[in-house]
Amino acid sequence: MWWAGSKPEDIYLGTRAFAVCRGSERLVAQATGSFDEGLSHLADWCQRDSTRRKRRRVWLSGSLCRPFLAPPVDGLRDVQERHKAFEAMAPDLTGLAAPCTVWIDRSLGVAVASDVLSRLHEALKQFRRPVASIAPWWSALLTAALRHDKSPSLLTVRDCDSLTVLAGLDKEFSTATSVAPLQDDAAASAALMRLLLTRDVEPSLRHDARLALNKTEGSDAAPLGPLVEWSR
Amino acid sequence: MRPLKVNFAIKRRLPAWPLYLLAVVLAGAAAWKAISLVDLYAELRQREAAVQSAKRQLEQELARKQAASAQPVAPYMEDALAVVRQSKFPLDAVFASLENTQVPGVRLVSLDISPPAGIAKVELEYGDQESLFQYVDAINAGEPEHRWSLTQVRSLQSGTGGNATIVLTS
Repeated sequence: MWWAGSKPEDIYLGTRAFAVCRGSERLVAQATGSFDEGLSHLADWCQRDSTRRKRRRVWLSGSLCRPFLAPPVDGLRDVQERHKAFEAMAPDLTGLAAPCTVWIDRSLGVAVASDVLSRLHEALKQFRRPVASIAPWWSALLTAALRHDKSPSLLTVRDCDSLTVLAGLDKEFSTATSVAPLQDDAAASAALMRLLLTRDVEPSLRHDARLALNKTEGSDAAPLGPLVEWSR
Repeated sequence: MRPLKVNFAIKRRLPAWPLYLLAVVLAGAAAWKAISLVDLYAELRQREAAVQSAKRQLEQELARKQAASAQPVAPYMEDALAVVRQSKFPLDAVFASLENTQVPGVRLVSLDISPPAGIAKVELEYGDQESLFQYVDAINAGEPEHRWSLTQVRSLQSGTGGNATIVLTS
């Protein structure tokens, strides 16, 4: 039994799409022309929805929030210096506009342009209750894929504006990158082929996820579940 | 691969008003406690003052009693005390001892009795010292202790006799 308001509300924001789902229920899913347009849709949603929902999560596309693997850097004395080094490397390794805000887990970093993040924070202030999380959508799909019986050694996430490829064995990542912007599926397929050829990726346990805005039904196993197409 | 718990959301901050409320409540409790302590201190001071006052009264009373006891004895009290002392002096026993003691060569010259001082002084004239000592032994005979004592002996130039004084102290 769900109490009213207990289902998390998932908001997806990219440069080509804006969507809102509540559990397995699809509320909004529409294409957009830019990040600014998606942000205006988000602002409208904030104003329309006045509920004090406890769990509201914002998921960013792979174009806005990109993973990268940082090379080892010697001489870093503490966490602050390591964070600054990752922030300095992020624009070059991801292609995002500097400056970047980064999240770090060992050698893997996740970057988002600081300007994009601050504008997003500003828009989200209109909610009566602060959002629970702001994270890349591909990280949610990674968590969902790892919960599967056969954990993948390769995960590709194709969303509205990017292709994110994560690969690795055991607990490590050998590849973590987002290719963006992508115009169409053909470009995404070509980019993926190049990645698989140039990097030592073992595709035996491969999971592919895809954002499908026209989809209306699906599970709530992952955020925006109704809009996800899995192929395993 | 491993799950990544990425989060770029601004960390929630606790609203400040509960802290302000808590601070106000704590300040109120501290003030109330301080007032209670002030009251308690005032009561303590009052009780201390009461104790000091009682102590002063006690000291004054004691001083008054000491002053009363240190006052000089009235003249009539001196007379009364003299009468009492005289009544206690054994005059009869002294006279009896002197009358019953007869030693050849020793003669009673004078008797000076002072009952207030409790003293009887007897001056003797003796022919030789042996007789004098026999007289002193004889007058003390029958007494539980030697009440008469030889206090002064003055020999004559001839060396055979002289004057002596014996004293009884009651």
